[in-house]
Amino acid sequence: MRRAPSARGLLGQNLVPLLFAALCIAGIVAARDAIALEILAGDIVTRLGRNLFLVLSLIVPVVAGMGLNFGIVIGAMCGQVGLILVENAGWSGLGALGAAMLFSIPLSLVFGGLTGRLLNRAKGKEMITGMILAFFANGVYQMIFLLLTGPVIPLHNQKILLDDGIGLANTIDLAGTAGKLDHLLRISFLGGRIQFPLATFLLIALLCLGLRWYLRTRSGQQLRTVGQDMHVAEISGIGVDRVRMRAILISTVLGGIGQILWLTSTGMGTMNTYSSHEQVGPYAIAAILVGGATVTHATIWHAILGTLLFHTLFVVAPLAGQAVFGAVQIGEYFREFVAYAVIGVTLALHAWKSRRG
Amino acid sequence: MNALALLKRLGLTRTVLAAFLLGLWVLSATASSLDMTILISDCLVRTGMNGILVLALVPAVRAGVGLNFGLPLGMVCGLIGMVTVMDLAGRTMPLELGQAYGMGLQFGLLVSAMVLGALLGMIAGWLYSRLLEAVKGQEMMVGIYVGFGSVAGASILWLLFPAKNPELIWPLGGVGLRNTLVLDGYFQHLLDRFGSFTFGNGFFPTGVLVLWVLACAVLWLFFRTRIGAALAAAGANPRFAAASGIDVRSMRSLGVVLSTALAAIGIVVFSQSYGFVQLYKAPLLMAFPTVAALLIGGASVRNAKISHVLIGTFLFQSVLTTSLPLVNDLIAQHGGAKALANVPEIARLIISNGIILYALTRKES
Amino acid sequence: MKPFTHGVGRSTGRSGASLVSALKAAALAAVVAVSLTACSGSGDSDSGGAAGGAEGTSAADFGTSGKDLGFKVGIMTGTVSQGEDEYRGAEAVIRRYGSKQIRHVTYPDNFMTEQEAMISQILNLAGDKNVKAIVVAQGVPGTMAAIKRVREFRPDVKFLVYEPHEDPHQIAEYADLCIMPDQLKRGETIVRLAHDMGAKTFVHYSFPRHMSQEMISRRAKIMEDECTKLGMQFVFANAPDPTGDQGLPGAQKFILEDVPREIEKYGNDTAFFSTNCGMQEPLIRSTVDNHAIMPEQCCPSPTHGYPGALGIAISDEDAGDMGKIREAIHAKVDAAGNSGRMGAWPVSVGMVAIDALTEHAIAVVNGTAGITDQATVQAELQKAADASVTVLPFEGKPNYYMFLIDSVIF
Repeated sequence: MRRAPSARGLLGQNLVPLLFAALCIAGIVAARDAIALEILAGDIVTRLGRNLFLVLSLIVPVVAGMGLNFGIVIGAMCGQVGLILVENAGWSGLGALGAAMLFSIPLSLVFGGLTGRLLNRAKGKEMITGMILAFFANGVYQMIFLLLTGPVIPLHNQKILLDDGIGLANTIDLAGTAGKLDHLLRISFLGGRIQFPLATFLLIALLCLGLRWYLRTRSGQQLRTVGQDMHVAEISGIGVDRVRMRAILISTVLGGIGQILWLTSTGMGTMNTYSSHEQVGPYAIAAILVGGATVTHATIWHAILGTLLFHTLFVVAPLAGQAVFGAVQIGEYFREFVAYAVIGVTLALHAWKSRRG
Repeated sequence: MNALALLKRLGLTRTVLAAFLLGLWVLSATASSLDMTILISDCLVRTGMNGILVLALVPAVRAGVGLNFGLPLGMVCGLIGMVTVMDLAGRTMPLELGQAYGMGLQFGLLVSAMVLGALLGMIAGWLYSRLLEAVKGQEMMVGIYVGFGSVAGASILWLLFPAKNPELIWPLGGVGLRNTLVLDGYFQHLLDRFGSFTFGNGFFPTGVLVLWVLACAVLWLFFRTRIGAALAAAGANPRFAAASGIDVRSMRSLGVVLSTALAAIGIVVFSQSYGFVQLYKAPLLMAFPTVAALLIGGASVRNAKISHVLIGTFLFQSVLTTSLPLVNDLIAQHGGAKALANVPEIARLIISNGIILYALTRKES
Repeated sequence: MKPFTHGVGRSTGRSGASLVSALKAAALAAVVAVSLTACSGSGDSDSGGAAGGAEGTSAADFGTSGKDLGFKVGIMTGTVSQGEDEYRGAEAVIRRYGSKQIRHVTYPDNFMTEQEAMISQILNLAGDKNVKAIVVAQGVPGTMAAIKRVREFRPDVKFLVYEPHEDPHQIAEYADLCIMPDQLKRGETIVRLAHDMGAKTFVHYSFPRHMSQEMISRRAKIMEDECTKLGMQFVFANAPDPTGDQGLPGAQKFILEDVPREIEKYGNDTAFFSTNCGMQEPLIRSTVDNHAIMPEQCCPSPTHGYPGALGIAISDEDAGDMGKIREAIHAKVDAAGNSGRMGAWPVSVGMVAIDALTEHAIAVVNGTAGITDQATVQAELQKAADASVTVLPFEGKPNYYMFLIDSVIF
């Protein structure tokens, strides 16, 4: 039923990614003296492998009309708990990585369920509620791992505890699991400048196929119906709250696994126990928005394109800022500014577009 | 069920927090070595210090824009006001070692910083309101990012700010503003000390509290004027307001402009109490405890009264002010794991965000 | 993006055992340190002069000024909002060799959550095949991961790390050379200096949060032992935590009130020391006013605490000139009649370290020095500091050194 898109319509639809693509190119041109392109390419490949899974986990709630799931941070925390358990046991290898993911799933289901209940009470305000919920959960997380771990929660591995045995250490070395998946099937280009983690990308491809399949099942169709109009869905006999809950559960579980992949990807390997999860939500959301997703519409391609563009911009921005403003540190603040501005600008552009169309 | 009715009238959050604060105070008075007069004095100072920032949220809520998480935008304007005034003062009338400006001049500097900040706040607030108009329904989300973005943007400004006063600029680089500027000699504690009197070892910060109550009264009166009533009507029921001939759009704008300008004044008051002007990342997250304070006072996303400001600021700031020294003191006296020292910080995260969550998810009547 | 906390700052904890709040505190401490005082300095006063052109450090300004190296050195520091020393240290080196030969990048303010960005910056430096050595100051978390990744395609790049935050034993396996100031040894030297200045009592101000940091509590113990050895009385005084609810002003007020009380008790020949940066200013002020003794500050640069406490405004032209700053301090202390009872290191540690590590890196790439050669490292540090420097290996590691600079007495 699709009409052939007019050139203007195409431009309008892809305004955001085009804008950011232009910014990326401008940044690369501005910083051309400071950038080694093959390193940039290698860095982007690494970042894609590291971040895509997390970004993809945002899609389902958008389809269900719940907007961008800032509550994904809850999933990330559950993923970290999985890793903590594995490190506590002292396991290592691919099996340990798998075990961390397995441990995270029931936790994600429990806490994702709570998130879902809360968001069902805050219809129309899901994003801001999710964001504050993430801050709140951070407090609870700190309480559990700073105060209760040791005396109440029996973790015994002194390597991950603070000196007096109460509370988890500030950083936990993930030596047992870090890089295990990336190194499983790694293809090296340009003398190691670009390292393509094939196994990781296969897993991501699997997730993409899974998401595609799911969204075409009956359950996925219900999700879509709810996303388009809750009222209509209700009338046609769909349990709206239940469907929304399902969307959050899927997103939270995927977020947990995504966080494990992110933390154990090559080049990371250390978990900042109390802060690693904080940037997950905002950055993943910024990425998918840059790809052209909106609060009401997100696809796998938005996720992929967005991650590519956002991370390119993130690498290039400090160098470009440095080149344009002439001072090294201004580049760093410029990068930060870009990260925050992205979400504001894309939300505003979306609102502006939907008003015109 | 009289007790229940009473509880309902008082409001759940307020009652819980008030009981908690009372408990903290009883504990401080009986089980700790803390000086209660100092403690109460600190609570009052902290209340006055944050009061106008909390008040700044009210016009936006009333205008129907919701909780203004974009407060840092206004704070940045106030900071610009202060550094401009300090730089001009330092250039034209350099201070000798240990000297301070005269009282009159200090007041002049303080007021000019407020006026300049408020003017900038109005301009920034107007632009911000244009943006919010475009993103109706997502104001709070966008507000958060406007706040964050303005802090990052301001960081670049601080690095490039053409200040010449040697007390403000980096001592090694000679360019750009320092992280924290000392207000000693300018208008440090000016309002706190104005008309203050001591009780026990503490003091009553008359000036800053009077200014806060005055500001509250002015805003209260404003809502009783025709234009103030129109603003509130536009927020409460936009359709009805539009039907009765109120320009809803410009009323919403006015709410945001007022809110941003008040935030600019608020940060000046905050800084004079604190004794330092904090630049760069300092304002990044200041909107969150401010919002929590208003909600604790009994406000909701759609409704905020001046009384909510008065009660909420005092309760929230007092709980924060009391809990940390109390816990530290108890640990010092009775021993206990070092990790316990984190309790107040964690409690703060949980309480303030929990309150915001509660407000966001509660059914509006 | 954590609500209500300072997401920014440098962690002073190296053991990885610091609590979350300790981090926030460190952030605040760093903020305070920088703002109130700003450690600074460069022994090389030619290059440490007015840095008016600093912000305009574009390629065009420097062109090919300085010696021609035939290769490049990369330097990574924080932004000024985390500490001015290191950033200005890098700028000073750029003035010497030109921005064509020295590539300077910064790590994010909230480096704890943004390791990815930090690693990208290092990778990009290493992507320039003319960059033969990279100086990382400070070695924030992520340094190890970045080095590991660079080694995959550039095993030849030398990594020199100042003040590593990551586990010393681990980072020593990846980096070619690590150096940091010897905080533990200072426990002895400070007390000895106080003794030489005539102190009979040593008062150590701190608070529980600081004392839970391993380095600080170990150093306090060392100070106590040293006092016993020299026949001095050691007094541990509890001060309010500046991150507590009385805030820094409360802590500062306490110091101003408490120093006279202690002097009343122990007499004028009492030496004072505080572990917190924000307390240095009132401590120096009241020590000078009461003619007591202050051998060194927590971070012993002449710009730390002294300018604020004694009202030494650093004018535009003299910004960064250590010699001028030292002279001004000396004059003020002398005028107050407390000569010979106040001390500090002659220069800023951060600036000295970057200067020395860069020079050392250049020598290593040129083949005139071995990367872990203790004597060369010491020589470079002495040249940069223009003072006597002691260098000792850290726990027997061949590529990890701790250093101490001899104090100046005002």
